[in-house]
Amino acid sequence: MLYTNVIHRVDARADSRAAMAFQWREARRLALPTTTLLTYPALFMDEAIADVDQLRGDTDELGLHFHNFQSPRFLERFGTRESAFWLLPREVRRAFLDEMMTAFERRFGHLPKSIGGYIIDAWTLAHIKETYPSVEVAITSCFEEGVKMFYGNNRNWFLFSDGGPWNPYFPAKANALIPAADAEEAIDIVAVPHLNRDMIMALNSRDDLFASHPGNLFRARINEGAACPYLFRFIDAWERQAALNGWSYLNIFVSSPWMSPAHWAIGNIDDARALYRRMLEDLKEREERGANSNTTMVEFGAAFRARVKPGDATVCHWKDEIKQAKREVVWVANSHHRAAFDMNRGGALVDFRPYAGRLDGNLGPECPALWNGNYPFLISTEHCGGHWNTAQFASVSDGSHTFSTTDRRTRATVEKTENGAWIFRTEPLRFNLGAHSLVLQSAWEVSAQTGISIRRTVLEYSGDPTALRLTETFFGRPGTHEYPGDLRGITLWADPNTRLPFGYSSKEATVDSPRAVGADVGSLGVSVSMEAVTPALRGVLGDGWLFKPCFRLDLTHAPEPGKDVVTCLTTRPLKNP
Amino acid sequence: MPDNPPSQKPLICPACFAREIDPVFLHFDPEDGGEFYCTHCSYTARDRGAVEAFLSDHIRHRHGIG
Repeated sequence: MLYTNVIHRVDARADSRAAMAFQWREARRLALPTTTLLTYPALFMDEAIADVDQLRGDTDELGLHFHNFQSPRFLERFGTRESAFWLLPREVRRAFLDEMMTAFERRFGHLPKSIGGYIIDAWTLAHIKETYPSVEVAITSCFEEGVKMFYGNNRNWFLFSDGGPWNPYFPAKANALIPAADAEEAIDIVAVPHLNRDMIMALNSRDDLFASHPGNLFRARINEGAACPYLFRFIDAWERQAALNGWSYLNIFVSSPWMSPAHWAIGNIDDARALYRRMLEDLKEREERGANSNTTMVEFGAAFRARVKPGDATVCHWKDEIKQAKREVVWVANSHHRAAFDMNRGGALVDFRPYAGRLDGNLGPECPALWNGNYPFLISTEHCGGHWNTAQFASVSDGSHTFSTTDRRTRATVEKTENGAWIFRTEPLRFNLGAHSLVLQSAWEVSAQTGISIRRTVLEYSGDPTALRLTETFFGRPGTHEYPGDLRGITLWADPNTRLPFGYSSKEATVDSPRAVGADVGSLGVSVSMEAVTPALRGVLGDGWLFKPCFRLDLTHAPEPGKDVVTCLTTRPLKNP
Repeated sequence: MPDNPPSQKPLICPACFAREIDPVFLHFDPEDGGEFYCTHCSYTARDRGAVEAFLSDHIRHRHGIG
């Protein structure tokens, strides 16, 4: 089942209130429930509350939103010009929350169950749950807007929460971007994303422009007048995700300024409103044919709790909905990691965020991270310049010729297994090795567990198979953005007893028949390894150098046609990081 | 066959060029009628002429023309 959730935000400006009235009337015309979140200035403005009283229907849920709060009242009361809730000093955040909750209860007779912010960190979520246990569901992050939107907004948008899940989840007490492993680790609030994003653009471009937000689609100029077929393909794509996970969630949060003629990104307001109206009609039509359920945030939260428990994993198989070309990506998130595999690069692992270190991601002037809430990657092909710097992939050699799995574009099939895992496979791909040809298929098994099982199978080879060598490679570099940090302190290792400290030396260590090769990365509190489930002939540990600041781990096998070569990519908490 | 550019000179990805990212060569996938694609961004094109026209527009723009 796809759960669709139309969310409005009540702002104080007159043009925004007029736009809000349009949004609300359209939803009521179609009997669609909404979640309507009030901002700080609107909460203290009688005219805005009068709008709410007049326009609200029986199925409309009210809650609070923590953006757009800066106002003369706020400045007078709290004495700070900070404009992002997630960056406010904690004392101000506490007092601000208290004031909003008290005012909401005074206005509406009860405390809210649904709240929203562009980022809400773990400290804040836990504080809210403890102080206001009525809160059941919260919008807590803007999926992968961080680094790329910072550049896209001309270095003015300090919203960094890269590295978390795209789907709803139970956030961990240690870091709100990490899905909790169990109920004990979870903050008892269902976290939902601020908008759903195009899951290919989330890897390499502006996923705020390509999202469940008609206004931003105008900003991206992917509309033609009021027409935007991409929007409806995008909703179809989220409907398809329900087949993989058993459920899917679509967060459609168009704050009122986007439906105002005054908005800078909207050329023709009639077209923008016509597209918004058409989208709501589409949601209604889907519901009438049983494809989705239009819900409020709190209704979705209850459905989610009934279907999902802390520790469960989620996957996304996303196809190119913009150009409808061949590109596909597969994402997985669980309490151990988030991983993205790019079928344009033969299924290479192109973004990998290991959560084993449970790093502190709290934000604000008291916190070491200050504004940088990005959960670190160990692999980010986008931020590190290509798969030759950070990625996990395989290569095959006959001794004279070599190809890489990244040489070929492919499609994926994704299937759920009986034990609750997922297996995704590339197509069988034909490669040339000199005069000979070889057909290789790759498959990955992902689940709620830490290990990602990687299988490579040589299906055909026209040459002498005893000459073949298949090497699994992991290029890693920890970071949260493009500039590399100091990699000294990382220790590369091969099981049983080889160690190579990272020192920008470009040295290599070769090990015969290792059980595993790995790296202990203290800054992430994580030990990552490739374990040779199929016995390996050789392992290589590769130190980087300053012009190529990344480490390399290799496991080399002698593949036999028709037999799987299996490697397990695993992360564990690092002891004494 | 690997997805290499065909035997003609490799094409620069015009979308990467427009973002002033140093030449990223397009790959060519012969399946499904053939498609040029970029592994850096998501640019795709069905024919060489479309790629060259896109690139040419950006080059003219760089010279202040058009």
